[in-house]
Amino acid sequence: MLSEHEKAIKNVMMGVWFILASLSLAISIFLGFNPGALTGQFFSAIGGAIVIVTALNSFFFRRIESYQPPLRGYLLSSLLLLLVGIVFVFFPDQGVALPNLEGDITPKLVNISLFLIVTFITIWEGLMFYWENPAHNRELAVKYFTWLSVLIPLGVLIFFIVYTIMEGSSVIDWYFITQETDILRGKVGIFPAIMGTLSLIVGATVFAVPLGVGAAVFLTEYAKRGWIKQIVGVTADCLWSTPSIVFGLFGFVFLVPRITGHSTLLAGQIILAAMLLPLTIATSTEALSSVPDEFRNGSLALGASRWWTIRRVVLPSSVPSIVTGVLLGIGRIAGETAPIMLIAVASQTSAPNFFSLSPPYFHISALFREVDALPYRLYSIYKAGVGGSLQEAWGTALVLIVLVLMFYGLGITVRSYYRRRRGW
Amino acid sequence: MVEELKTKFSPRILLGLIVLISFTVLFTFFVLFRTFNIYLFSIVVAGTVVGWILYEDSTAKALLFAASTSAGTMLILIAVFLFIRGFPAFQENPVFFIVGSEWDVYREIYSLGPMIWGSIVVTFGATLLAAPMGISAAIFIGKFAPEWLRSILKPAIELLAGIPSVVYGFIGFVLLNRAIMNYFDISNMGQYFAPSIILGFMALPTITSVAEDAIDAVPEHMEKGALALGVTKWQAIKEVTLPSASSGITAALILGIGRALGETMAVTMMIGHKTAFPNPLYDIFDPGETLTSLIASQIGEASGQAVEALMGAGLLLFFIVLVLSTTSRLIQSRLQRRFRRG
Repeated sequence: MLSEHEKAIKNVMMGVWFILASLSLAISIFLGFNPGALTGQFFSAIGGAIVIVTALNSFFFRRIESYQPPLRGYLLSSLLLLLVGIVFVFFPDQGVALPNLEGDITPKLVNISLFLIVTFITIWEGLMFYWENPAHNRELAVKYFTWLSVLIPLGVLIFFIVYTIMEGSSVIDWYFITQETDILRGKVGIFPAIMGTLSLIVGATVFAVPLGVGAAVFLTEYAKRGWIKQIVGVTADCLWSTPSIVFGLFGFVFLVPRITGHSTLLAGQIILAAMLLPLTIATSTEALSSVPDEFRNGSLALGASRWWTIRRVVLPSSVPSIVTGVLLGIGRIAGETAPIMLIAVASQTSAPNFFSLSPPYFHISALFREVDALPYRLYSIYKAGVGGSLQEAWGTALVLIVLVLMFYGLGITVRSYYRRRRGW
Repeated sequence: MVEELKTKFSPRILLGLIVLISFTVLFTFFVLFRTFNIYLFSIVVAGTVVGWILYEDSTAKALLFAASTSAGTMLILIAVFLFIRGFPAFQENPVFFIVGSEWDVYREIYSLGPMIWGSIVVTFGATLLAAPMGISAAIFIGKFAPEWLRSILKPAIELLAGIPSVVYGFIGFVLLNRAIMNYFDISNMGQYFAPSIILGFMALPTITSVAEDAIDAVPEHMEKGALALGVTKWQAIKEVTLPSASSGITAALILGIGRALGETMAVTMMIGHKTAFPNPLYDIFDPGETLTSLIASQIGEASGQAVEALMGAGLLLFFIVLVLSTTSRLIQSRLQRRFRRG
């Protein structure tokens, strides 16, 4: 049974529900149900759905005071939603064609309306189930709903990955990942892009990790006052949430004119390092401060200096967590397009060659040339008009996803392995 | 006296001063005059090496301090240079630049109104999708899931943030944009509607992980106390845990909004690139433009005044996201302090 308080809430909610319904109906009437105004149709479908559902429900069920809707009604309607959703997505033209009045009630529109109506029935059933049931049943509804909102994003993730594999795997062969594109022979290869992305990642790591870990060591071991930590924490947070395109703009006005005046690998590495830096600082600080004080005190008690203690005791015992953080961060920056688009890449360049078999064996000049990168390759295929090389684009996307997932998988493996082994 | 002077100007300090001054001059030259002096650079390197050999401890400390200023230096450099290049766009007619309705490269009229509106619409749509789903996912992972499931779900949600945005954009462009075009029989592929759905899924992991941290941070004894009074688990969560974690959840929402606002590639690939207000204003199926997609799609070919205007857009974006993330950080640290005390 509902308490007075809950009854009041329910009434308010029903009021809100009716206001929403009449608002969207009003909008749709205001817009007119004419074929051109898509948003009007959209709103009118929503409004109509709400009104129909509410009317049905109040007509059939609301009169019975002691009615407790069972969970199976809720489950049934969500199953219906799933079915209609499948029809909606995969069979757009298979709907029922209503008798045509104005010439714009197409099967598609019927499908959309059906989908919206069933959605609202599901929501309504869920709310009813929640309101009309005793506490222990309510928990079921909540559990079901929260579980659903974990499943939906995961389903989307799995769908994206599987779809990319299905579309992309047909182009991937040995030539595709180890050679350049050969226009004369009509063969496509993304080797330069792979090497470009790898050299961007390596450079960014080389720049960012010493700085980030150093900052973390200073913060946890030397900085005595809290405000230094506060400041570095806030600045790292701000840097972390700075949009990637802003990093690109900054590199464009600051780094490019100061290095060579055109796009260079070095500029891209520095900017990606700046994006990797805050995550490195955060994870290393966490890793270092989780090292127990007994370790430090033991070393100091043996007469070791502070720096010696850090080098020989604190850092070695926190390496796994730092490595995990850096790997996850690399997974993040490997796919960044917006920052390098302006400062580091050009499409159809050859792979950066740092090494050669004849002297001089190492070419530093490769740092000052443009590179190709996987995400940029994907973007440039999109930009050139997708029609022709859709296959190549899917292949590139697949290689990129595999690369990123590799770093993530490695990071998560290292983390779970050492978490089990760690002695404290 | 002499002894005192000797300790005061010990070689250690002298060396440190030389290195510091040459580094400052080197950096200033690099920032202001775009030159890189190899001699000063070798002084810095040599000084550091000598210092490392002679006084390892204090050199290490100095280097570590320098490393800890790196993030701040980067942020200040970004802010200053964006300001220098972007502020002129605001100077002439700031009101028109922000709320005006026209962006025309050929007639050299630049105002960000349509793009700001586009950013608001797309971010609002993304939040509408990501906020309820993200928070309830956080409740499930934090409270209902058993330990083994939790250890699977957390990295899986992290993975959702790991898919590169250009891949999201490409998949969204090929699947979602075409599906919507096919369904609604509209001639244009890019709308506000499609990118906001994809952006919702991209902002979701941020919201979920931060909100889950906030839910986790609520001391367990508070919920246990409620359970001991005979309420169900959900009642305890609803009446005790969620109100205590509410500020953390707010912080999560703000961060998620910031993410959606700053997301570039996915929007750029899915939106229609029409730099005008949709007609009518609430038409989410009209082609449009957001701040980020404007910059990404036009900076390559821009010149002269257009670059200035784009920098202005970048400055605005940077400022908004900075405010959002600082607010979120403040809320989070207040939350932490409260639980440490009580």
